[in-house]
Amino acid sequence: MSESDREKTVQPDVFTAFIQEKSTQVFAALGVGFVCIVIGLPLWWKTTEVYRVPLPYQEISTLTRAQVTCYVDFTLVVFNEDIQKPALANFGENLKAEFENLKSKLDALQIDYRGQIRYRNEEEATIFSKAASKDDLDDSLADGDSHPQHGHVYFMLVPEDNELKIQNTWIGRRRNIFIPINEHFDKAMPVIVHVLKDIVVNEVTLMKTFYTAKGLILTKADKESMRSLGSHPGYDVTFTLLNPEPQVLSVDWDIKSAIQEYMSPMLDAFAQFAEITVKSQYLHFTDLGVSPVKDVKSPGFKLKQDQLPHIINPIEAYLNSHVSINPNINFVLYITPRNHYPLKIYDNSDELSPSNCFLSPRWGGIMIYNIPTPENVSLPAEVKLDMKSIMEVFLSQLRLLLGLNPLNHFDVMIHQPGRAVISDWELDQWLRKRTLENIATSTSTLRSLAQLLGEISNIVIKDDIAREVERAVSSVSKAQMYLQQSRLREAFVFARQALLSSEKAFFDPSLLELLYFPEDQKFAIYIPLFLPISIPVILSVIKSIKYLTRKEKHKIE
Amino acid sequence: MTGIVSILILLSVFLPVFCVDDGLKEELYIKPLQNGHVYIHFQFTTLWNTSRDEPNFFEHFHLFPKPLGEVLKMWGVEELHLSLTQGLWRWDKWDYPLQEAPPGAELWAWFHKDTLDVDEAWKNLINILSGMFCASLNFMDAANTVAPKWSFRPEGVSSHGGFKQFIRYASLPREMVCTENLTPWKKLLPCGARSGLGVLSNAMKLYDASYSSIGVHFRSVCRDNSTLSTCTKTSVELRQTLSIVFEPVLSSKTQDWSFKRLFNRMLNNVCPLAESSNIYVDTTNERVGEPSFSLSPEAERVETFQTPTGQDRQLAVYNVENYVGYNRVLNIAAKYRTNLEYKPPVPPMVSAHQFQTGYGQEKGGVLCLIYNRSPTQTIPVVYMQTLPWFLRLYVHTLTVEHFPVDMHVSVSAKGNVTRPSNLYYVPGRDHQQAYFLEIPLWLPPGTVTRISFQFERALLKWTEYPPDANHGFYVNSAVITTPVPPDWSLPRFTEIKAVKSSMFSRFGDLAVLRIHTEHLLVLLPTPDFSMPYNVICLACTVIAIAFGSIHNLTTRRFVIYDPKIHKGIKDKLKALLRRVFCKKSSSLDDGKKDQDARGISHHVRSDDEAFVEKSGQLKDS
Repeated sequence: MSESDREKTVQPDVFTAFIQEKSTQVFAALGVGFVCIVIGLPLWWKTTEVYRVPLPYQEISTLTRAQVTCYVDFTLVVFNEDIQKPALANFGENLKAEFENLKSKLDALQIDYRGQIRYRNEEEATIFSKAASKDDLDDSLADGDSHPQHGHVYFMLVPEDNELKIQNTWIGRRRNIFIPINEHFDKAMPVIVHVLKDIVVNEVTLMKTFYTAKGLILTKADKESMRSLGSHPGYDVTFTLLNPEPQVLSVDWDIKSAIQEYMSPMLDAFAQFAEITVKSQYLHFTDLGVSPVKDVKSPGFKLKQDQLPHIINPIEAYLNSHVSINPNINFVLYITPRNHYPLKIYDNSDELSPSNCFLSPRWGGIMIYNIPTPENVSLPAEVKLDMKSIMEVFLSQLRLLLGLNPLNHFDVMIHQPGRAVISDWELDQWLRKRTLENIATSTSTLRSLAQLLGEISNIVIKDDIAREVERAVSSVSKAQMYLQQSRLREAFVFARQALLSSEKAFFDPSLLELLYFPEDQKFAIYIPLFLPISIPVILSVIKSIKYLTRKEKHKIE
Repeated sequence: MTGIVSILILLSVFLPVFCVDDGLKEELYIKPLQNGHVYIHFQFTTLWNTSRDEPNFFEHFHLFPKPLGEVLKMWGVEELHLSLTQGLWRWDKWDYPLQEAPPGAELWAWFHKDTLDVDEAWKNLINILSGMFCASLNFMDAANTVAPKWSFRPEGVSSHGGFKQFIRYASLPREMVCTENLTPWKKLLPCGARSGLGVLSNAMKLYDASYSSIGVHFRSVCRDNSTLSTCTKTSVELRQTLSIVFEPVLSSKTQDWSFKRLFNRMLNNVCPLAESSNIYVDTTNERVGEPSFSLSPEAERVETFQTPTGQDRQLAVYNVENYVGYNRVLNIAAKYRTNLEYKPPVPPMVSAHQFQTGYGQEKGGVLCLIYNRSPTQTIPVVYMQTLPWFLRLYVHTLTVEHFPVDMHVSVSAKGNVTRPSNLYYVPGRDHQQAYFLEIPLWLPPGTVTRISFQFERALLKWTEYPPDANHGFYVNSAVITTPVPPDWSLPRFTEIKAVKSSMFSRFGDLAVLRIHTEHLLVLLPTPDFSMPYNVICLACTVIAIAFGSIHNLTTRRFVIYDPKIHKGIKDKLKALLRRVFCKKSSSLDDGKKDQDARGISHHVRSDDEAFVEKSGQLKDS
């Protein structure tokens, strides 16, 4: 057989074999490509993916935009029986219209007033006729069955010629406001509006607190908001007796019973809402951080107001608590050493401070206590401090630090809470303020968190963070709901929970774990693997697809 | 102004202070050692009549430091012993210390029986204490924390009788101790470093010494001096100790010492808060005859006490109050009559040393020698060792052998093998739990006991290596607990009635001594830390190459290729080059040369083709 013959006989076989071979190769290439691209890539993507639990972004943005409405309920109780029903109804309508007029519609925070008006009932009438004094009347009315919960105030419209001599508007230490009226009782309307808006609710402060916490307006911080401590689940109050010279004066204070006596009503009032712990300590041989100057006008030494900020630095190390994350409120009683006796505080205009104490915003208070060194006594002389004057100063400072306003309204008489430190209606005000502050803070925290997590795709979002975020979101909505129902206690509890959860989610250390492993570095590591593998796979897949399409064309032709 | 002052005077009622329920005792013990060193031990004891059962427990502080008290209350700590030590206590040269401590940091704590999660409480405790004392106690995590069964018993009244689930022990031999740890320690003193004996704690001098150790020891004690078991009312006791060993011979060639020379400070006042402020100087003459040094000022009295062996020892006692005030300062100075004679030190009856054995980076061993030099007495001890999880302990290699005390014990020496009657062993778990061994033993008189075991070094994950990994890894000191040996030469609790000291009463019902041996430095195989990226790159390249060839084999077929029909890139390139080259040469040279060149190239080409035709070249289709 010649060469050409063989070629002729073999040629068709080779050709069909070649075609079969070619299609096998094409399918093999496509198979590899399929495995790599359809299975391999998603598998790699899935396995190297950062674990992120979906968060309720939609709800968070709704919460941020939503208007918070706070309802304040009040009841007008009329004790004058000679006032006719139609007049009373008319009065109520007018009052409603008045509040409606004063309402601003555009704000993110809306404070609404809901009032009802009624004649006194039998029980109230008996209490009123039997009351021995104003305080007694206040207490008995508040303890009565018809006067419930937090957040509700009662205006007692009492006859002008009452036996208890209530001549002016008087705010008791419970939730009762007494307004003496005669037959021209329309005059009481501006008083009611003023008392409600400016004293009982204190709208200006409430708005300021809310907007500051929300971060909506950058107003220059005012004295009041700088001074008081923000909303926290608890506060640690520490009383410190600073005795720089125990070899001269052995000073003793009975702080245990003083706290029992002066602070327990306040601690009881706050017990449900904030965990306040009270501790005390002595510190010896610690000086103030500044040296007082000799007073030229009178014997003694003076501390100027601009020196005061430096005073606390040396003792700061002894005051911190290692066990609590709650803010510490420090009250320091400084016993003047012998060589600076007597020591007085002067303000910037060189006026003597009458109480010889000062308040450090968000930190606490310092009181300077001058004790003369007794003559002809073997040293150290023993001194026992009278706690009444000291506690009075510290408690008034505590009120300011907790964010309670000083009670000085010239037109209305207000019962000073005294030892109780806080009146019931003030507690309501405090609760309302804290609730709104917590709602605002937690929504803005949630918003920041959502924004942060949306921007940085590398952050791991663990299940517990998602759980905290969800809890915060639901607590905020619940708190808002209760605010609308004017149920302050529940609203406060949920707002606090929202704050805690949102802060916990925001400051969770697990959020930081992958932050420093950026995308480009990840790919730099994968390139030695991906580049040499992907090029032949992709090229052969393209080639195979081209081949297949050409074959299809041939078939059609 | 006078008005205010007078009001304040009126308000402050002068009354005697009654119901003092806490007190502070300051003590300083000085013992000149045989070889010219001076051992100094400060002890500040705050005793407070309060207990956990009382309301307002740890809320209103007077002498007890509030920061520490809050921590102890919060985490239910019943007993706490913290020591931070720079240097190693030389047992053979320096005799027994009043407060033993291993090099670095050591912390052990007993928790109250109501503590729900002891591990959690311990974790919080170490983190808070590490912040408080500026030490890296936070490294005392679960992987190197153990719960000893016999070695660390409660030293005070305990609510649970010492069940080991309520104790946690950890030690960090690598911890460097310096001024930053001393300052917070000083802040816990009621008089600080401003007054009283605390004035002498001058960091400049303390950390220039051969040994320096600070300690904080908290426990509950019986309020009425009854024994631990019959205790009904308890008080809390905080003992802050500071031990230093100075070497005055180094700086001045004489053995003389004084406060001024040792501390660069003198005592000029007494802490007004302290009930008593005493200084004791051991003036016992080791040789017969005259005392070898004289003290100035002279002590107000000299107490004599007896050691358990019946030897009389003298203590010069100074009540600081009688020596200071009104421009008087106290600077106790010792003047030696003769120069120091260096003699071989007389080692104490019980001592111990620890060594590392073996070579290479795979296996190794630990060897501990415990000496009982008493000619007659059998001494019970508990040996305790913790090995980090990356040194895998083989318990089957554990051997205990006795040798005569004067013998040089080498690794290969064979002695009398004994089987320990009891053994408490906790196997380690990688990254989680350290290997822990506790062996109670009886040491026969006049013997050295050799405890040895082997370990295997494990590999760490590359992120687990500390900075400077080539420095090595420290292994804790072995702890040998024994009842106070009979040659104890320091004052002890039986003598407290003589000197009214609380310093020597710390042993409670059972007086024990803990000997801490040397710590070990073990080298682990350490990788090159740039390795991970190299490994990733190399592995990826190998995989890529392998994948490439397999991919080629599966998706391509190799067939015979005829270059006549299909011209490859190589041939096309050749033709192109030839064309360019030929054009150039034709323009430059005459026709003949051109012809020649063509002939040569043609020849080569045909030869090449012929070869291809014959052999058949493998070509990509």
